[in-house]
Amino acid sequence: MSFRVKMFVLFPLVVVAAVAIVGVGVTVFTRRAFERVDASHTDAIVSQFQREFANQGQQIVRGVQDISGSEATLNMAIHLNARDIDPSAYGHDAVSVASDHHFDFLEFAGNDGSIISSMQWPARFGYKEDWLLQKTDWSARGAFLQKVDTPDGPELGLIAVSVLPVAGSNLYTAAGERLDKSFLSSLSLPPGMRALLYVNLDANFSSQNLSAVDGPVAQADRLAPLVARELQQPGEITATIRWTRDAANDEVFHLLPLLGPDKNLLGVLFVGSSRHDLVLLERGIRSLALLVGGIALALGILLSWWAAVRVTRPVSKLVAGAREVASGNWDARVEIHSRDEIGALAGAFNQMTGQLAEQRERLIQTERVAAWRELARRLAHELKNPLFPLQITVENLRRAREQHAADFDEIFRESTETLLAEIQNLKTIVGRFSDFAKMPRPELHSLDVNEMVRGVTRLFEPRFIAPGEPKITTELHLDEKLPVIQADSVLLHRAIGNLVLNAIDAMPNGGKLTLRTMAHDGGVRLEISDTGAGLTREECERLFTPYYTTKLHGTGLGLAIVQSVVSDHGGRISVTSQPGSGTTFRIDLLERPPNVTSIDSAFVKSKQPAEPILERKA
Amino acid sequence: MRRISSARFTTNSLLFALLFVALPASAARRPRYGGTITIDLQARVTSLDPAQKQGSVADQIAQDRLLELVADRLVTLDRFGRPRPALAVSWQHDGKFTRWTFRLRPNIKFQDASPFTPDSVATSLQAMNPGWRVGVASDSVVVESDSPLPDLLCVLAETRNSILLRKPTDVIVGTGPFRLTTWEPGRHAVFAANDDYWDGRPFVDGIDVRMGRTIRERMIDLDLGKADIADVAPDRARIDASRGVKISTSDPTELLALVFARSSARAKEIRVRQALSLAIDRASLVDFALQREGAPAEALLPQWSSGYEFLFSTAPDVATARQLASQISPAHVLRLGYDADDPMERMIAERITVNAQAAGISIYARAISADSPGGTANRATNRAASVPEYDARIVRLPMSSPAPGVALGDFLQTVAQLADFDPSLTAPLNDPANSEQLYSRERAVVDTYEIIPLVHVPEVVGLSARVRDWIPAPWGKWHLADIWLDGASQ
Amino acid sequence: MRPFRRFFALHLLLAFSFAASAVSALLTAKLSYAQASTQSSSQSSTQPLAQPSPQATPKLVAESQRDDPLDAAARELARKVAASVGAAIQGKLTIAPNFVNLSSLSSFEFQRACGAFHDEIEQQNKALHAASSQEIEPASINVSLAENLRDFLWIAQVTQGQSQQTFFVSVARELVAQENQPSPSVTLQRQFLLSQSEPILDADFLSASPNSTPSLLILQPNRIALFAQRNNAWQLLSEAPIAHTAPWPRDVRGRLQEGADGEKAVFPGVICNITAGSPLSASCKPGNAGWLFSAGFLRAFTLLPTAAANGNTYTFPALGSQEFYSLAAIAPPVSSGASAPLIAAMPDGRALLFEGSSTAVASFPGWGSDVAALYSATRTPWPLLATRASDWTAPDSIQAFDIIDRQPVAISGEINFDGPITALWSEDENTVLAVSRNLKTGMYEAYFIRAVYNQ
Repeated sequence: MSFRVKMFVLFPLVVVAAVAIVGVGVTVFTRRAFERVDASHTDAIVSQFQREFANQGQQIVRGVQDISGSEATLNMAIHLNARDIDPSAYGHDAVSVASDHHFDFLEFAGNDGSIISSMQWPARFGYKEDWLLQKTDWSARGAFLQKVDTPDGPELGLIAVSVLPVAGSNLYTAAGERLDKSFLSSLSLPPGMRALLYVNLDANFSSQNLSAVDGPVAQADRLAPLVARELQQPGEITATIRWTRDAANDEVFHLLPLLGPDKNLLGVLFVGSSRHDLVLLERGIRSLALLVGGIALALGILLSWWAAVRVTRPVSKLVAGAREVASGNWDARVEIHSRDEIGALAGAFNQMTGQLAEQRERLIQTERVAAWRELARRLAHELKNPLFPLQITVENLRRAREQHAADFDEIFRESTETLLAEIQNLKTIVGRFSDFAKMPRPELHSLDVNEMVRGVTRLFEPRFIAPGEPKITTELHLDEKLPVIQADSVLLHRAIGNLVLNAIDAMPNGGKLTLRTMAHDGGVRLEISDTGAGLTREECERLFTPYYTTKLHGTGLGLAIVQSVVSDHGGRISVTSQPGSGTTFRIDLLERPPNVTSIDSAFVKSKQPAEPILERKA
Repeated sequence: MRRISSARFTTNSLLFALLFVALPASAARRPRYGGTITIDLQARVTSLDPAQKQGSVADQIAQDRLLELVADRLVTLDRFGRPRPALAVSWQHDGKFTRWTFRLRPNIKFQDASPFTPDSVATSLQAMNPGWRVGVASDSVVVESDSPLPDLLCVLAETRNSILLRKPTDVIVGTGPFRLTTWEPGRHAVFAANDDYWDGRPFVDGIDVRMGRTIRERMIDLDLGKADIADVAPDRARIDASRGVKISTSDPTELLALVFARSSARAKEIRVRQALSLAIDRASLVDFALQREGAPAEALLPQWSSGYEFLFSTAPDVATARQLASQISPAHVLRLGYDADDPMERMIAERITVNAQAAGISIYARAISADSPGGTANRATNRAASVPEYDARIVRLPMSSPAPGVALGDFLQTVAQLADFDPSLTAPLNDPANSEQLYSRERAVVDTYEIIPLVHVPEVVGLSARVRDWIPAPWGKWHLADIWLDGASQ
Repeated sequence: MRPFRRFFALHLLLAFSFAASAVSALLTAKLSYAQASTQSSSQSSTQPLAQPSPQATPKLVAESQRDDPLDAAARELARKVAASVGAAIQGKLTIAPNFVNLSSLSSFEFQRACGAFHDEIEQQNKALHAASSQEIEPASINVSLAENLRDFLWIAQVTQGQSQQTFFVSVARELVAQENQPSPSVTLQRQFLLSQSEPILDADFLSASPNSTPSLLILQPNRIALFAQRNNAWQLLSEAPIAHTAPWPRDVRGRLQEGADGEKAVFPGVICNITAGSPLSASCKPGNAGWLFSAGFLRAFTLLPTAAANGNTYTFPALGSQEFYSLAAIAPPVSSGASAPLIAAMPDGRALLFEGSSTAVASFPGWGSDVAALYSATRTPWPLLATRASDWTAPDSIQAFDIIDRQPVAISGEINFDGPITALWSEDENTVLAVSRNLKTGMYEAYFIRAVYNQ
């Protein structure tokens, strides 16, 4: 991943992370704050309910005591004490008394608890209210919750009982008010909160028994589990109900169990506080965070892009410059005018390339001088060898004419043969130099390297087995899966021939010649190994220098030609050798030589060292 | 139980005796003529024509009471329910009771001075009894029927068999002690004494009847002397008496019974019906709903009429009821219907519900609005075909006649239209006067539990202080021609 | 349930059809006027019942006097019952009818008619015995006299094992001579015996030979005296002390009664055998004997309560553990084994009526603590004499009552005394001994009270 991309990604990431952290932090803080407020509101309502409950209870107790203490009730009690009395005469009293005292429920019961008059269910006249008979100090108990039977089913009442003892038998007055949604209306609820009342009158949860001030509660069944929990273990519970998928409709309920005299659950007060505002605020915060994050991200991207461009453009210029230098353009320059580190780096680079160009120039010149010297020396050496016998022969001929005229003819014939041979020798030397100068550019076409290798060995086969010649065995390790490459078969044939000749020369006493081909890096590798004397390190380094030879005879152009052919094919040639253990030449050829079109320039460039010679030959 | 009913009987007779004695005691002199009786009725009578059924049982009874003022029957019943001559002076019948001949009282005119002829009688009777063949023979009327009519005299004594002329203006003209002078259906009626009444002119000059009066209005009117006679709800009688109102209570004249609807699948199982019957505590119904003005109904006919009601023991047996109810699976929830406009029915229905629930029978009471099927007993008879919204309903069955045979026959006819009755139970009896036949028939009916007798309700009337010689028949028939007003208390 | 009901209904129908024919037969044969009462028959067509002819009424009276239709109907019912029960079984029949009066008729007429039913059923029974001697399941019979608007109804419910049958016989109301005065009213006659300063606990005539002068035994707390009548005055012949170790209760009561082994004086915890020779002797020993609250002449029927510890109250097995001051039967048991209706004066001032069980069926306030019946071998029910509620500082009176529909109906005027009644014992037939302490003289006066029936 490039430096620019790294910068491009990292910067927005940092911005987004920062915004996210702030958003979450604010949300959590807000939620806690809201929950604290909710809790305080709930407590307020619960205590308000309990206060209301107590007040109502006291009023009921007072009312019941008034009824029980009234003259009419006393008369009833006295009358009921008389023998053979008919209590049905009082059957309707409860209704009128209850309406006078604004009670929802009122019952008079005799000493055995049997109902004398019932307001809420007149038809139960004569049936027993056993709970009235329990050993309790009713006046001390005050008002309490009680399940009250009515024709329309049981209802929940806040009941008080007063006992009027007359001549040893009691007249019970039990009266109270209905505990239903109307009771809730006495509670003042802050916005967003509501109070529900569940009266636990049936065996199972019934949604009818759950009511709010304004009537029945929608989806009441969702609250059934909470009631079930209360039934199992009455106590204050707080739970959140998710009404819809939308969390904004969630409601937190605080349950207050309403217990009867014997601690049985008769009702549950639900104080619900809507999470709507909280959730909306949280959503506001979140969307704000997202907005800020988005903008920051966009800015970040722009900034990081700008910064990346700003920082990396000189760097990439440097890279380009470096690449030019690498490709041999020693005059490459980087145009950077900043004064920062990058500017300094660019300056240093330009300075470096400048120095490199100078040094190369110098090197080329020295090499050119050295080459000229070497060429002169070689030329002198090559030409001096035939010239000396010429000189001798010519001198012999002159002497023979002067001194040995008789034998002159014989000597003349012998001397001219020697002269012709030496001149032929000179011609050969000059031909070789001109050949090197006339190295053609390769013509590419598909080439099966193995086939070519076999051809070369076949060419040299007679020489390996010729009598009087050193005994050389050949081994071919050819990879049959070699790719077909684009190459100039003639040039390659010649180059490999040269190498094979070298190998033969390196093994005057015979040995083993091994040719090996293999697919390598998308191209072909060809190795030619001999078992000759091997070369030293210096010899290896100078090996491809033109006109360098380790042999007594030879121009030292063979390997130079091989190297030029290989480099013309965009390939590489290397040599590995240990003195005494033979030498291995390795040629790596691409399947298709790079920039075939520019093969000229490549050829020219690669031949630059030999250029003066070519120019000279031309 | 049986003690209560017989005690009921004696207390009633004692009450009559008391009225007998008490009133003259305060004004011990012979009757005086004059004055107008004001009657407050809760009922709203829409027509005096017996052919036109009234909306409710109370209206029906009120119609009878008013019709009795205007029209007479051929035969009337004395206070022991024995037939006595009225418009007919004598009668004969053949051995099979299929042909009756009535000799009409001579020199009688209708109130519009049109002559009282056998033809008019025949027309009048034929209109109300299409089953008969009513003919005329000189000064007699001949009633023939394919089926024997052993109880014909009692039947003819029913108000619906009043002899009257139907005028196109919906005005009823009869031969009775009073003639109708003003008629505002359902609201107001004024009757004037018929000076030419064959049985002697009534003591009072007229009767002013105000209908549709509420309990409150009736009581206030009685207290202030603005009304002389007002009907009183039985459960109010004791309260009103305690407020000094003179209360006259008849023998039970109405049966409140529970009738299971024919269409009810829930009540098909006899154990359901039997369990409910065993669960009901009738004595407490009387104590509570009727404030002891009435008697627990152990059978359809009250003891005073049949004489054998005590043989039907209906002591509540909650244990057995619970056992029966537990055998029924699944436990049916019965719908007990009652007339929404009738507080007494409502009270009784609620009490029955309590009794039943105590016996483990699931049942609930529901008001039947007037326009629902069988909204009232009469509608029940008219609309029996439509599917009712109840499994059992409380039905008020007024005794059409003190004669047990006739009353039972009419009960069964009414109930048969509601309940799932074997036709044999409604077939006429050979001898309706035979207690054994009546008993066996009634026993058979009661044992089907298709109808469960609840209470026998008396007719209770409040009287102002100036009403004298108030001697109604034990079964509630008023004799307004006999009463007179004490001027001293005016 | 259902099969039994079907069987039951069928049984009833059979019985009723039989009964119906029987009734019509009875009514046509014996009570021809019954028809006339239900509807005027062809021959009386021009003579409706509204205005019965002057001759008609005496005819009815004459008829009813000859044979009371209520009794006749009761007999008819008995025949129907016996016939059906007898038809159902072959063998000896044990019938224990239980009578209930639900009608407005007086218990006097009711009891009489019940007697008729009883006689008839016994006769039918004998006939059945003759037929076979095989013992069969006894049938329980509830006989009720009810009434409806027109008729009186005799209704018998016969329960034999699982089966129950009901029989009706009706009598037209106008045929029954219904009297508002339930039983013939009586005049109480008071016969003075003697007075003395010593308390008189009881007195009794000694059964003596016709020619000898009558002699009278007077029981006093500490002695027993024998008086003989000389010149219309009682003269003391001899007396014997009553030996008792423990002191008497403050309100000591004593009773002279004739046992199997001669005359006895019974005190609380002491029994004395009296030898009424001369001299008179009384050998007393501790012991608790039953006190005779019925009359000695009724051999078949005796009430023998035992005195409680306090000496002035008693207990009687039929009444459980309830203590009472005095006890009287108002009618004999209707059948052997059945119990008679009893009236007991209770310490709380109420008199309670018991009908065969220890639970009172009625209570009468305002009576005194002494009740005694004027027992009679021939006439039922037995008039009941009761004192008035007051203490011993006030003069007292005695009045005769009849119990009708479980309510006391006074059938005589009051006999006033100059002081409280201290003893009231049923003695001989139609005779009650009353002892009063005269508040003016302080003397104890003994009287015999007898009823004279006005007929």
